[in-house]
Amino acid sequence: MSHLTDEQRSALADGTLEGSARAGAERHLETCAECRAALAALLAQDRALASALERDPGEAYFGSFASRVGGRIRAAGLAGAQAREPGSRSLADWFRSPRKLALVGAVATVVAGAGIVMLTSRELRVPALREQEIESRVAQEAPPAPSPPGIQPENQRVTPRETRSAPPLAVESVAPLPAAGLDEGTARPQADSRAKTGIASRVPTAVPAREQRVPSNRAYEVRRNEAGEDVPVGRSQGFAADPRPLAPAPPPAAPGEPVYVRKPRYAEPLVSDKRADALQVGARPRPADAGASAPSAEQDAPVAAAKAAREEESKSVVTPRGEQTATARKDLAAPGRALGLMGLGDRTDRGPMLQVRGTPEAFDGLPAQPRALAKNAQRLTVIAEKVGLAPAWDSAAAEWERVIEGVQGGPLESETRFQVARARFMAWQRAASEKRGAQATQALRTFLEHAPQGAERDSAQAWLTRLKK
Amino acid sequence: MKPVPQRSSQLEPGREAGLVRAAQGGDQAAFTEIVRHFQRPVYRVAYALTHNASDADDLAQETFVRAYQAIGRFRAGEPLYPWLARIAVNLTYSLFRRRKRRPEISIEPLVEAGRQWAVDDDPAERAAESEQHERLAAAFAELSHEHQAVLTLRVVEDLSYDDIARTLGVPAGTVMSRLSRARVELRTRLQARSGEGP
Repeated sequence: MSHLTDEQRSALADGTLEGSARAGAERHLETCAECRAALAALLAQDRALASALERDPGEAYFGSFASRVGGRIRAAGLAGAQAREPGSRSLADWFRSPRKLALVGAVATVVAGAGIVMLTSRELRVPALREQEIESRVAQEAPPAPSPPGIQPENQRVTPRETRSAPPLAVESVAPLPAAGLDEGTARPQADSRAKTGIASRVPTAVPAREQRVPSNRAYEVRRNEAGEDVPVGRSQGFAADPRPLAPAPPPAAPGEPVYVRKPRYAEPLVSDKRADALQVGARPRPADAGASAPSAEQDAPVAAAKAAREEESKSVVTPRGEQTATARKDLAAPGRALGLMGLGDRTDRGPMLQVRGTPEAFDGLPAQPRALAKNAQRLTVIAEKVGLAPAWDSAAAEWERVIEGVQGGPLESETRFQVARARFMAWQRAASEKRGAQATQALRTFLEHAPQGAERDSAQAWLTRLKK
Repeated sequence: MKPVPQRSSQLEPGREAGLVRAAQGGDQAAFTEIVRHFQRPVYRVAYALTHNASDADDLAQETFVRAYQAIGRFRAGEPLYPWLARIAVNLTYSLFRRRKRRPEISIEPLVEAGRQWAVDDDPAERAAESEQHERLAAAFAELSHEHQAVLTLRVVEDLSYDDIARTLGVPAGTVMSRLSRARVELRTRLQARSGEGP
């Protein structure tokens, strides 16, 4: 037997069940003592609740109730009820309804949200002032020059779309250059002109950089990196034509055979922040080499050409095209100086660019004690280069001085004295003092007494000049 | 147990509509008659929900002040009491929200009942009844505001489901289910207080 539900009992107690529902409930009650008891308890609970919640404050209270209400109405200064008859409703009355206010708020929220979405989902036009600024900058960078053939004049205009996304970027125009006629002789001058700032040339041409900028058919965005280089934002932008020399044409295919054309790749700039004594390009790395190499999977492949620039003295060397190994040591060996390295060329194969630190293997032939001292001196030199503190250079110099005893009169004496002089000079440079200056001057002079011609001697003379100043 | 007096919150339909129209026309006497007729039920609702005589007095008066302000928008011919009860319930809810707490259990009913016990009936029976009222009032105060309102309008004011629906602004079916749940909830809380368990 299914009993009456709570809702049925509640409705039965209130007398709201009608028709068959009421008849069915009454029939059930006749046979179900449990439901009868529950219904009786419910009615008793209602009666008790009514009695518990009731309070009669007395006739005196209600006798003056209406007058107190009237007094409150007068105190509030309320207008008569007739002032708000249905026909005289105002807009303010309409807004008094909480439900209507909620409706108005919801509509306003939806409209505002739609407006925000519309505003943020479409690009705004760049203000005219912004365009003028960009055009003036382009004009400043690129003085008027005759357009190369094939370039439509209207294309010279820098469109807002190409420069809008990066406000602080510079806009550089690069003219399309013919691929023919570019050789190492034309590439060298510009490489020299940019070596000072370490900016790799992307347009190997004999024309100076400032002069060869002519209005192009497209502008491209560049972003200045930490080294001060303007790097194009995305490779697909920028060049109307490949400014670099093209790869040699593949041999003609036999009739009917497919022709495979190797797509030229850009040479990645490689700037090493490590200090080097010598630079080798295109050589297989040796176990004794302690330097950085270019990210290449083909260690044996040569590079087409390479440029090494010593930033501090605006000195650079560009290796000839096609050389398997080009050693720039005699031109660039400048211990303690940063070298900017970059491979030039358009060949797909790129070889490693090795940075060989000093000539550590040269000391391997020494007896055990001086060899150990040399190794320790090299280790202290590396530490001094890393920490860059004068005491570290002092320690390295002292260790190199201990090495001198073991190499005196031999072929490594000059190299060792150079290391001593260099460490002393670096210590003085980091924290100049009279003592360090005297030590550096003495070490440099000692080295220069028997130093052979070359980069090390040039460097030592330059340091000595600085010390004298 | 003292029988619950029969509630009579309705005027004759024609009489009530006439008073409303007169009040809407600015007849102060008509509005005063409306106040006198509905002051007791409005006070009962206010007191049942607040269980505080001072709050009930203030809410009852404020209910008629608001009615005076809004009677121009009331449609003559509709039952007046559900409209007044709705104002009273909404004002009570506003009072609860302002105080951020549930209404306190007042000892006023006991004091009032004490005066009555002194003149009639058995004191032992009155004490037992008082204890039951105390438990009921405490359990009632623990109910949600919605359940308190629907029970008050049905049990105390004896309003029909339709009038309760008008007062609370909900469908009549909702009134039926809400009443059922409120009664079950009250019974559960009473059993918990009596130690009988839910």
